[in-house]
Amino acid sequence: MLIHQAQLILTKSDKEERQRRETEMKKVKKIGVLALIILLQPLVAGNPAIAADMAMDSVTGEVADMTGIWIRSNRSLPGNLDENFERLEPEDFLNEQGLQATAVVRPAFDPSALCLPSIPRHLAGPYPIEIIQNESRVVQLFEYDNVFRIIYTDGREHPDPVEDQRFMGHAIAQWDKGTLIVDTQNFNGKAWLSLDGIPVSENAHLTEWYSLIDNGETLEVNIRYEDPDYLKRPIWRKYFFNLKTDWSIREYLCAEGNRDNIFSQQEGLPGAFQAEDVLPSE
Amino acid sequence: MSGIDRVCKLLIMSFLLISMSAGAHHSFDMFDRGNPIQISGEVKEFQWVNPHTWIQILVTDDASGEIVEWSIEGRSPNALVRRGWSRNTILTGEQLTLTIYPLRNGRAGGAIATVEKADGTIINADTPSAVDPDEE
Repeated sequence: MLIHQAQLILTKSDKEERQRRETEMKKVKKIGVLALIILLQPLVAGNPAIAADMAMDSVTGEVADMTGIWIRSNRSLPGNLDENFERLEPEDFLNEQGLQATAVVRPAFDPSALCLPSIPRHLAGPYPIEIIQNESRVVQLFEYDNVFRIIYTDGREHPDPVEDQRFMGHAIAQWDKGTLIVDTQNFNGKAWLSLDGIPVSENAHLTEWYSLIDNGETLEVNIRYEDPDYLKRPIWRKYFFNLKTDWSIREYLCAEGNRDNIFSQQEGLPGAFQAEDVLPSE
Repeated sequence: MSGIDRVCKLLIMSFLLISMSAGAHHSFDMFDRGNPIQISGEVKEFQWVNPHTWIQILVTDDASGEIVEWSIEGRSPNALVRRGWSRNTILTGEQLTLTIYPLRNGRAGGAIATVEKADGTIINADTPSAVDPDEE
């Protein structure tokens, strides 16, 4: 009985010792993580990708109200950028297939000239975007080409990327500390990234970070675009949008007067493109 | 405005056109931005349509006396209406002098830079320096 009690006491003492050690280890771990965060903080703060990727495991779900009409600001950074938002030249990010695809750019074959929309290109358009949101989705109404984009925040996954392909891709998102982190894929391979003729392949993958700044007067959008078919590294963009409380979205139906569709040229009305203009860009 | 001022202004506008075209509906490569020209004539029709407005203008060829219809591409109604334009800013039958960037292929067409009304009023119709009119 005494032996048994002694064993029990010993066991209890072991447990206490183990708990004490575990608590100490946790403390050390906490301090270590804290130190790591402090050390990495300048890097993380400057790079939304790292910050967001770190945060993806523990998204807070904290929502921001981005409802409103937004117009792209001249504060936006032009061009395709690296992860530090420094300008990249095409040869810096295009792979061999990308270089080949853009060696000869035929503007008349630009899907946009045929009134076809795409993402992220429509974010850079010269027209406002209205954002409407509820608990299950954030909806972007693009004045440009009268197209809409539903970004689902209800936890659903992307559909089958072979069965369901789209010009605008399929977008799902999570809220984290007031930032909307959007993941878009399921592209149809028929769009261009911009006027430069870089195709958006079926394997393209887009990540966007939307955050309100300037007391809600500015919407900052950081974009990471990846496409293993045409790019050898991800490219980034940074846009700022100004809030327009007194604006309304207007109608923009591109097909009405589009003379740039070489396949529907109106006889006697010389427009920008003629069939013979389907020539390499200078 | 002196001729030199006008050329400088057009050059600045050309630069802006290049810098802004990333967000445009189509490439502007077919227009010769380096060599703007002026044409004068009577407006046959102002097409207030997307993706671009069009001024159909009847221009008499000085040498042959022949009347040629030019098609001049402008900004979209959506961009123009936020800069004070309406569908009646240009009227059928009015006389205009247009500064345009002509089509490189030599056809009777181009992109609009400025519109000069019969009373001498000049309207800037070139690509805006900002998407947000408040930033222009």
